[in-house]
Amino acid sequence: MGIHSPIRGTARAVLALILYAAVPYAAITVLRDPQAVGLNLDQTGYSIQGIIDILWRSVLFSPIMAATGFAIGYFRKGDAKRIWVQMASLAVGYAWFLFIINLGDLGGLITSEDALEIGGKKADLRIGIFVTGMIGIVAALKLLRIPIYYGQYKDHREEFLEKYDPNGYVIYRLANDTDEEYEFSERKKRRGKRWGSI
Amino acid sequence: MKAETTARLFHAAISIAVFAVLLAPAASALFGMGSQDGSIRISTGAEYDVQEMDAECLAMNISEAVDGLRGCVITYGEYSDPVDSASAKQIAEKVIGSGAVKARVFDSDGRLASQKAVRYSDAVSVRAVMDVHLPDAVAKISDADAHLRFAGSGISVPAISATKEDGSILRLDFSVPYILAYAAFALGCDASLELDLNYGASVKLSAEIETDLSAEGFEFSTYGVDTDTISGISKQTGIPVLSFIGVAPDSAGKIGGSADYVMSGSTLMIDGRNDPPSSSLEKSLERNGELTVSSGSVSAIIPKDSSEGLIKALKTLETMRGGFRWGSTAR
Repeated sequence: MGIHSPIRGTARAVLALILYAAVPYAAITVLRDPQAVGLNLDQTGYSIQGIIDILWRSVLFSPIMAATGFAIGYFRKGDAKRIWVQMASLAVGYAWFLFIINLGDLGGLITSEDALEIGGKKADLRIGIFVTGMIGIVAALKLLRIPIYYGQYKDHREEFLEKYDPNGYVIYRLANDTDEEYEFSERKKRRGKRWGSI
Repeated sequence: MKAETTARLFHAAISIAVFAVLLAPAASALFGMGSQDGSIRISTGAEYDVQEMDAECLAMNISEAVDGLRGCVITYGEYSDPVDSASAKQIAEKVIGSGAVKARVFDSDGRLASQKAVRYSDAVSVRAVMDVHLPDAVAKISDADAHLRFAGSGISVPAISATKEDGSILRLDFSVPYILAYAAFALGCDASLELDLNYGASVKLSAEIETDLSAEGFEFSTYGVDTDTISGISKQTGIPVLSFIGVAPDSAGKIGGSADYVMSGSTLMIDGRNDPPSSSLEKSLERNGELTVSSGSVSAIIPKDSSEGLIKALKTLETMRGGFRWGSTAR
């Protein structure tokens, strides 16, 4: 097994495509024609084109998310380079969020003709959302993922070095273990080799 | 517990709390407003601050409240009287004469009658108080803004106040100078109500209610070299067009320092004092771009954007007319 994993990278890329492209595309299909999947939604007189546009923007951005997913999966857990890729994915994920919400301007999300009656006359209703402070809140939530990446790195570092970088593993053990722990483990290894268990 | 697991749990807890607290009210409002169950409506209780009205204004409000109803009763102070469209003016004079502070109109079932908006008019503007019923949307807002926009004219009137009442009603209070409304309607612009509901500082839900309240029947004409005339009298019926601003009272006054106006029998005349009124109004703009309309002790300030929209609307109307000729009409 190599130090990097194209298979895991590909798996994550496929997962990203499913999450950011296939699912939104399926939702678009259902929203455009609910009866095709057996849903009996009466869409007469109202339009959800704004919601469909959000989903389309996710589909358009999905190749970038897939590329980011591949890069994360390619570098194994415990690999220092994975953290850098994960940091970059934070920025890409935030860019995805800003792109799908059209930089906060989601005017015309739902429009409904003749939704109201005013003074005996019908009136159209047009509803939109403008994301204001939420943009900053999502950025803060993204930054809160940094401890996750660092925790993942810390939890898998020893295993990664042991499997893929023996010299690095020795240095890691020397740096992190007490003399007793290091000595004990080396003795155990020698015993295992002598008696054929390793 | 592993470091990664701990960090993930912490992140998940924060995310759920954020979305539940901040986004859920807006999401609920969005889907509630978007559904077509007819629960969104503009309907204002027929309750009047009598001391802010004259008899004509009160009669107009009463007529609207009792329109199509039978067996209505108006209560004012300790008195009450039956009222219908025919007796509205007589009853209004009686109510004003009684010195009552408030008056209410009830239907035959004893419920408060309702109308589109309660209007208080003076010499330069009409104040409209309207209740917008928005179940599921209003309860959790932190604050709200509203604008009355005349589509395509650039004229926009911000609400004086937008307050939450009873958890599902947004009470809007607008003051619309007649000159703005007349110019916009003459241009054929529909009025639309734009509501901005703020859920904290995180999300703003915007609802635009587009109407076709363009009040057909408003006609523009020019006279001489310096007079614009906007008639609010229907050519078919010969009576004033009753748009949501109601019937304007007769008055006369100034627009800034370079133009005068006269409102008579629902016809507005703007005198540019030897210049086209649109040019005179441009000269009348104050440093901050605002325009002041005044009549005696009553005045209204038109904000910068609306002033620009008004001047542009008059210029367009004057141009459509082909300049100033005797007795020509544009529509």
